[in-house]
Amino acid sequence: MRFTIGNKIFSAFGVLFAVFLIFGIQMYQKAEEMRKASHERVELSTMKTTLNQMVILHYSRLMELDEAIHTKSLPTFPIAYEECEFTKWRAAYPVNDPHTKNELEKLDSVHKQLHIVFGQIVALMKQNQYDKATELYESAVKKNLHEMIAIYQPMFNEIDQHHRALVEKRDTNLDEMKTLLIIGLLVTLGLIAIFYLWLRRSIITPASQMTQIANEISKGNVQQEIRFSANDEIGDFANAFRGMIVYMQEFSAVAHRIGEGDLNVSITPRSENDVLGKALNNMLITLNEIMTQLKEGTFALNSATSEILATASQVSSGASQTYSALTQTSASIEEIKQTAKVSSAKAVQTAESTVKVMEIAQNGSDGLDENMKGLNQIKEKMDLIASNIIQLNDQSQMISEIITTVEDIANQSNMLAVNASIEAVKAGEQGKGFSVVAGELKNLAEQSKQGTKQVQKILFDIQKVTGTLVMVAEQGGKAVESGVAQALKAKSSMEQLNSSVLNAANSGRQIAASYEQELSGMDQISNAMSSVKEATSQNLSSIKQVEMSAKDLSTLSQKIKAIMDHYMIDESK
Amino acid sequence: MNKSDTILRARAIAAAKVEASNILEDGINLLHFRIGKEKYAIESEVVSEVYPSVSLTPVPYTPSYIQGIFHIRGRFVSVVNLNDFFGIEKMSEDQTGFIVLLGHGEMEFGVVVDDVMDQSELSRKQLQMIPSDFDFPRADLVLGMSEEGVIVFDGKKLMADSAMKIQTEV
Repeated sequence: MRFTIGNKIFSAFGVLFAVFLIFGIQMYQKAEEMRKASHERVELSTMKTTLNQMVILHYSRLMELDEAIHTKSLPTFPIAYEECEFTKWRAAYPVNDPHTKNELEKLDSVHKQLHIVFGQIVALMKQNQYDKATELYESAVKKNLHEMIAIYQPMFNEIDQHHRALVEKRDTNLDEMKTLLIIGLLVTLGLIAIFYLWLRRSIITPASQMTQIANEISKGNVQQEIRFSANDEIGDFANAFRGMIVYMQEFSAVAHRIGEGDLNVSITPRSENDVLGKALNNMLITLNEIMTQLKEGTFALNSATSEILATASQVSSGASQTYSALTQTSASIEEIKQTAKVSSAKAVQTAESTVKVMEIAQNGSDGLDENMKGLNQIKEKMDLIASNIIQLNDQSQMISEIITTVEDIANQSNMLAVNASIEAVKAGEQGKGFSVVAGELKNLAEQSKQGTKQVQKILFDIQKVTGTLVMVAEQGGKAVESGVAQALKAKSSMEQLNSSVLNAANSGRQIAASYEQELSGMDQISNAMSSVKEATSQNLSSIKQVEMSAKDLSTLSQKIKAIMDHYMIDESK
Repeated sequence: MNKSDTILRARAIAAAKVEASNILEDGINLLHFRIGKEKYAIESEVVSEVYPSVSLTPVPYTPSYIQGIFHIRGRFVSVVNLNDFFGIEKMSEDQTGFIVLLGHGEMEFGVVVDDVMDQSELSRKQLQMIPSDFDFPRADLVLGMSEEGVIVFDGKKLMADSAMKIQTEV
């Protein structure tokens, strides 16, 4: 019969339980003894208390009596024996043995005696025979008391002795119990140690070993060995685990082979429920099929990608060329557009500026008309001045003539004077007075001459000025004439300018209009070019991408082929 | 009237002074005239009249110094160009302003002058001889030269000169 783990555990617990039981019974007994002893002690205690109470009571009674005697009053406590609490106490006193009963009887008789004395004393007191009472008290009561004490004392002693004996017994019991406990503990401890080691060997060691192995397996390391064997559940577990490990090892070996590329392996499923085995088998079949197909496929892929690559390169170069040509065309169109824009702008500017010029020409023409009016006015004024000057000239001419006349007169006077003086000289003495007169006449003539000279000088100046004025007037007149002529010329030029400007404006407008058309046409072309360019650019980028993809593809197919070659196919599948 | 009075008075004084100084012994009253740049003088005795310049009518077959004749108060007077007569080149333009009529005895002719200046009294002693380096033809007709360089003609001799007598007959 297998000693299973359960059995082992059960047996271990059983042993422990037995040990507990033994010790427990022992302890129980001892406890029971102690309980009894305790009860006894309680009884004894009660007895003692009762005794004490009785003693105290009687003492207090005695004192009361004493006081009553001294105060000559009646005591209040019950005098009669039947009324004394002693009776109750006595009833309550645990009587377990005849000796005690005997003692109690004795006590009771003494007590009865005491009460009789009490009655006597009270009767005496009632009779106011206090002295007798006192006397009686002194003698009888004391005697009674002594008797009581004689009985009490041994009773107390007995109780105490008993008590002590019980206590001793108790101590002994306790000691025994302690010993038992210690022994029990030690035994238990030993047993526990033994069982621990035992169970450890049976359960924990293999369990931890297998946990370790399982951990290793969970990490993937299936090359494990279980060295443990036992004829119990753990042993079974270990065996099963061993089987599992073998299973996993087998599968991992197969997987390894597959990983190496050898698809020429097979797996036998362990059972109908071997999901992994069946799955691996299916996987192998599928892999073999796939690999075959892949091998065929990669070959085709390789050749195809080479072709694609070649084509893509061709297309790429062609697209590049197209793109560059488009770029150039686009650039040229842009230039044309720019030029057209500039020309158009210039034409518009010209048209606008011609309007301005026309305005200016018109202003100029008007200005010239005014100018001419002004010039004509100037001319009229000039003519006026000229006529004035002529008048002036005539007048100065007249003055000149007059002056000449005066000069003539002066000269003639001079002549006359000279002649007169000559005659005077000829006359001799008589002519002296005459020569004086002649001299005076000469002086006069001289002065006149001077005067005329001055006037002539002034006239000369005037004539100079008028001459200048005439010249100026003539010049002015000429200037005016030339001015007028120039103004007329300018006016005609202005008019010519106007007409030519008008022509220019019209031409400018026409040019602007034509440029506008050209511009719009250019825009259209430009847009079209942009679209084509964009399309070509996209095309180019796509082609480049295609080319790159083709290259990648080619590389990839090469790689795949290499990988494919690596695998050995199971032809049977 | 005050001004004129003052002027007349001043003149009178001046004239009076002139009169005082004019009295010279052995003095000749000369009439100064100018031909071109040269100043000449001639005795007032021989001067009959000073006449303003008139247009002269040239007479053919007469010496070159006969500038022409002119009509004065009913008689014809011949006019002489002294420069030509003396053979002096005319230094200036023809600005004949006057004709000095010279007359002595029966001889009468005019002299073309540019200008007639004042008369002056001059003493014979003040006349100097013409310097030898001063080329003046007909020095015999010259009385002398004054201090101011005025050539004084001898009028009487001039009038009497044979060269002046010209046949007026053609």
